[in-house]
Amino acid sequence: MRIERELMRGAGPVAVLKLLERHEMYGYELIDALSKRSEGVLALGQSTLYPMLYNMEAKGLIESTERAAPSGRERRYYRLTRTGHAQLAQQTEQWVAISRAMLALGILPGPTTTQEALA
Amino acid sequence: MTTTAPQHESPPAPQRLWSDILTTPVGDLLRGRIGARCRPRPRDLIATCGLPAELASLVWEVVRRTRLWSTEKVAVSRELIAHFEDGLAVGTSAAELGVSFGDPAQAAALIRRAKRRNRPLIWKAAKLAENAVAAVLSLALLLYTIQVVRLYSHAPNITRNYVSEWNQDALTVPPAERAWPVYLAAMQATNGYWEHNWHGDELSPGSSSWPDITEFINSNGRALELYRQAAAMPKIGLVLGREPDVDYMVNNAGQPIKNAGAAPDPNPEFISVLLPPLTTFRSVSGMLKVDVYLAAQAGDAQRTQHNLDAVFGIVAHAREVRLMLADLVALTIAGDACRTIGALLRANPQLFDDHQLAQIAHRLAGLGGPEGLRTRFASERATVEDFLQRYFTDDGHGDGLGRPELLARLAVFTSGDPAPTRWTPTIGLNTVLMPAISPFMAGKREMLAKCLDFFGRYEAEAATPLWQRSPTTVDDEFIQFRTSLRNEVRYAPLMILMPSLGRAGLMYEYFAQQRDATTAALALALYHRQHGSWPQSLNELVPQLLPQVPPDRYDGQPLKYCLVDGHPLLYSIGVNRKDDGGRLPSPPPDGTKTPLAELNRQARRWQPAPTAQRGAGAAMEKPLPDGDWLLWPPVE
Repeated sequence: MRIERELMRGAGPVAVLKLLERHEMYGYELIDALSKRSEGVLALGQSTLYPMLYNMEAKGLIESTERAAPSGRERRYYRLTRTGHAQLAQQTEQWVAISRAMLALGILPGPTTTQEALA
Repeated sequence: MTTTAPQHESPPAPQRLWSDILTTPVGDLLRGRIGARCRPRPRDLIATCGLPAELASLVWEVVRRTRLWSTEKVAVSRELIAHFEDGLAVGTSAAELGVSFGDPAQAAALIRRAKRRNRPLIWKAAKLAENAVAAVLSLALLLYTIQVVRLYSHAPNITRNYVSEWNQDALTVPPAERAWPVYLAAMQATNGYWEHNWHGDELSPGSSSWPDITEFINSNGRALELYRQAAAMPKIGLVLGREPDVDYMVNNAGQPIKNAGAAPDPNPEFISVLLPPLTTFRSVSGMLKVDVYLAAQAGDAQRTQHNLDAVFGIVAHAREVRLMLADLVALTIAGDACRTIGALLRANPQLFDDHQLAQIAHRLAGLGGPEGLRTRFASERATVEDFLQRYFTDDGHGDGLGRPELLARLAVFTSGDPAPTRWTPTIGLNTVLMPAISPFMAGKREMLAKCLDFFGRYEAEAATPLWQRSPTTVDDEFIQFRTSLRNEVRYAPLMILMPSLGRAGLMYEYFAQQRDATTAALALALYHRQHGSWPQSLNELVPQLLPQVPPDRYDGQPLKYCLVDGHPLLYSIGVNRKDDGGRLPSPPPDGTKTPLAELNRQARRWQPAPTAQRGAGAAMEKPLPDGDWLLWPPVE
């Protein structure tokens, strides 16, 4: 399923932040993880991911280091900064609120009212 | 996922020459890229990374298109190489990786934008400044273009012929009644070069030049007679812009007149018309003044009076020209005539009979008709108006912008040279410059309004007697106006064209005081003849010999009069506004020898009242003269 560009623009960064929450990852690994864990829904084009990472780095949400992998190959690893953690927490809250609203509206399958959703 | 790999351009290895030239060690140093040659170059990195050719080309294309700094390109190259190596390592084919990567152009654009956000703050500030400069330049270019359209879509519209308007009265005078041709004939009949030989104080008996001057006068009796004839004619009939170059004629006596018969310009610039009578009037009045003294010495009262009448006639002719400079010449001649009459009354009190004294007094009092000899500024106003109509465009609503020709014309005025010099801006340059200058220069309407405002205030000031004048002079305001840098640019033509007119207005007040004192002196002379003694007060002259006691121009009170050693003295309290009993100002304390006539002139040099009242107490101001302005008898 292909997601609208505008939706992807909002979901992509928070997805990347979430993936980097626990440990650092490199570019190909991120693309692979996004594709597999979202069952292809949030699969980012490779030409999109790297600019997104650079933007997030510019905003101070992530930081990167270049070093050799165990295989000996040089890679750039990305990890979350303190600002990135805060941003992730904030955006998670917003996504939860959106999900609840979608649920309440019947856009998402499940309880039909907010009270039911919260019960 | 398709497996068709896109076809990308080949790696850039063969295109290294230009890059090599640009990245020589000296080139790097000059560009501030110290150590640049120690870092790997992106294309070398890609060429040696071991990726399949199609992926290497893809990486290079993306990196090349980013147009980032070399260090940034290296970082991106490494990341993309690692990305593809990781893809290949998990078994994805090169073709699949190429396809799944997406559009390299779009990737390059996004990467470029994101990477630039990571650049240092100083670079961002510089970029902001660069953008701001670009925006300002673009705006300036836009404004310049608009101004070019505004400026060159209109042309000046010369609707008025000021010279022709000025000449209307003169053209109605029948040729046979015009005095000016007689003046010219007299000038041509003059045997010698009067104008260059004698001036001012030399034209009085006792000067070192007096023998030469009298010889000149005696040998030019015919010319003097012609001058008297000319001065006795009711109208001068001078047509501006069509008269010969009198200066040339004076310098080349006996030679043909330089521009006589030349086809006249139908609408010449008002500012450019020759003012031939001014030189003539001053020199002729000087010759007549000398003959006044010679006739008086010979006891010839009639000839003396005729000469004085001729001088008064010249004053009337100068006024007929209606130019401010001619008015000033008229005032100078009339003031000099007053001093001459005063000197005659002192040296030859019995020269004239009672009737002649009365005639001279009436003639003097009636000079200039009802308006007197007050300086008029209409010609200066016309000069500016004519200039504006010639050098500003006309938008049809009374407004317009300065034309390129304006700059060249102003340059000629400021250089004082009528011919263009090597520094005079060319019209081509001005054509480019003027649209850039004109937004900062006032338009025609504003320029004219400012000019008329000052003229109006100068005229009002000139019409106000000295004792009623405001503490702030229009000259003060005008000087303040001129010293503003903004105004220097905004009203540049006015700065050059419009003179300070305060002194021109003062000239009449000085003359009026001198004239009033001279008529009072004539009345005193008549009184002395009738009573054998001098009056104790000027009130005794009223109303038989004087209609009223004339005012002192400095306080509005009656003119000061006293008897010193049995002799009458008429004086004004002068600029210090204090009656010093008819005493001249003290000479300078440093012992500098100052002629008495100069001390007397200093006493009259007017300043506004508050400044004058501070007098010597104001440390920063020049002390005011501590004496009076003596009017009669003349100070010798």
